[in-house]
Amino acid sequence: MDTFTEFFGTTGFATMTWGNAIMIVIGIVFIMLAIMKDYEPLLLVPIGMGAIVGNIPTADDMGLSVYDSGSVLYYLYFGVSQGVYPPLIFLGIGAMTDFSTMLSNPKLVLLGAAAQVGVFLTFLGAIWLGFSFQEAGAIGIIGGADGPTAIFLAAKLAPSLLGAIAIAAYSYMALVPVIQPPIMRLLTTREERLIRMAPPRKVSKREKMIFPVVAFLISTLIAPGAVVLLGMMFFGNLLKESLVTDRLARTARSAMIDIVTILLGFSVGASTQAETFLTRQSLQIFGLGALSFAIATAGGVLFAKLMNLFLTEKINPLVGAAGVSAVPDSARVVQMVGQQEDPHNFLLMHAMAPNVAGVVGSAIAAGVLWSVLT
Amino acid sequence: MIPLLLAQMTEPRVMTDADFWRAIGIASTGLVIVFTALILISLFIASLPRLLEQVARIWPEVEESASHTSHPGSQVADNAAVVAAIGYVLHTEMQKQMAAERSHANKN
Repeated sequence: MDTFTEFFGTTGFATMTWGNAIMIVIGIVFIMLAIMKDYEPLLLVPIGMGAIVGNIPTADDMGLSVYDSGSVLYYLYFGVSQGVYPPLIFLGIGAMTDFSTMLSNPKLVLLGAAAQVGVFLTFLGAIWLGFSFQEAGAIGIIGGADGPTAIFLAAKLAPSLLGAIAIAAYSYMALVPVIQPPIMRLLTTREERLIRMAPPRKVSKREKMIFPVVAFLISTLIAPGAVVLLGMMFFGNLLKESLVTDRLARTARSAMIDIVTILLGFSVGASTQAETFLTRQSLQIFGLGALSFAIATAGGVLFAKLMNLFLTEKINPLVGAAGVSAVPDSARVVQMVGQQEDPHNFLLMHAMAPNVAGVVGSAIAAGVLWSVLT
Repeated sequence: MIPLLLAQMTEPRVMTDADFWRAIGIASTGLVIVFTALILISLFIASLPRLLEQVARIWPEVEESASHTSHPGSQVADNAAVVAAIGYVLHTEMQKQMAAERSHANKN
């Protein structure tokens, strides 16, 4: 009987806290959102399951959690804590990204820069709320709407906030179709939403091959902190566009990115243990994250309107919202909102240009913050 | 309870002037750097077609470079697309020709 009582004391039922129970419910909600609403299922299912696994209480001396040195989860989490997984995901993103729309209309690149205003204003907001400069930098990058970049920078600048930042970044990426449309409608008139843009020109193979090398050189000579993320992304793109390494490109954009996504999502989820995650700071991070997405969307739309004052061939300002680099979700939202006004207006291709420029822009912003704050 | 929690969460800290200006400096410099990098990339992209025109005079672009791909699957898919396109053009042209012959016969 003593053995049974002793054993019962080590079970999850006996050691479960309210915090653990709440986190397990959050994990289940993530999985349900992914399955029932199709919100970023490739990320929310691993993160949700990871949150459930990470919140099963275990005896302290068993050493099973991501924070217990030598445990299996610790090794899986190593790729997150040391910033290994995000560059590998960037390799896959590069191998699946077609920069043609950006190459055919270079002025749309500026919208990807304008949306980064969300990063830097959120950085200021986080400092105002009492976070340290390093923590504020890691929180601000949520506004870049790029999960791997947010994880990479949080691992470097504020490892203690990594779980909350990663969950906030991926949750808001999943909620792009909910957050962006009201802001886009609020900041544009019907006439502006009806603007049709000229179809993009055909881009030659040579342009596509030269672009990743030169764009890498330009961006990383200016912001060397972005060398790992952008190096891997443009390398992936070169594998795709060089036409001679198709096997490598296919592996990078399929099997490899899938494996890393599983490991990253699951271990980030497992790091959200109640005692480290359910804090006042996490709530503040979630608030700031929502704000940063809203500011980034508004920044892109307003900058497109500003550009229209000087352009003869007008840009549909909705396209500016795609500067938030949630690829391809924010571009899809632009298409959806545009087609609600005019079902024959196809903005998706145009929106992909600021969308991929936004990925480059947020990686540069992360590089700048990393360089300045370390 | 909730307003109290929100008030606590959004309570600003007392910030020194030095911290304030450092934060503003980092944010504005960061934004300027992002814009500079993307403006340079944009200018490079805009000048690329003209640059390649000059290069093409010495080193013309070979259209069939796609055949050098290491992925034989794409070759098969491209061939199928080409055959379909040729078939469609032939069909359209033959229909045009038949229609022209019919109208010519009707006139006669």
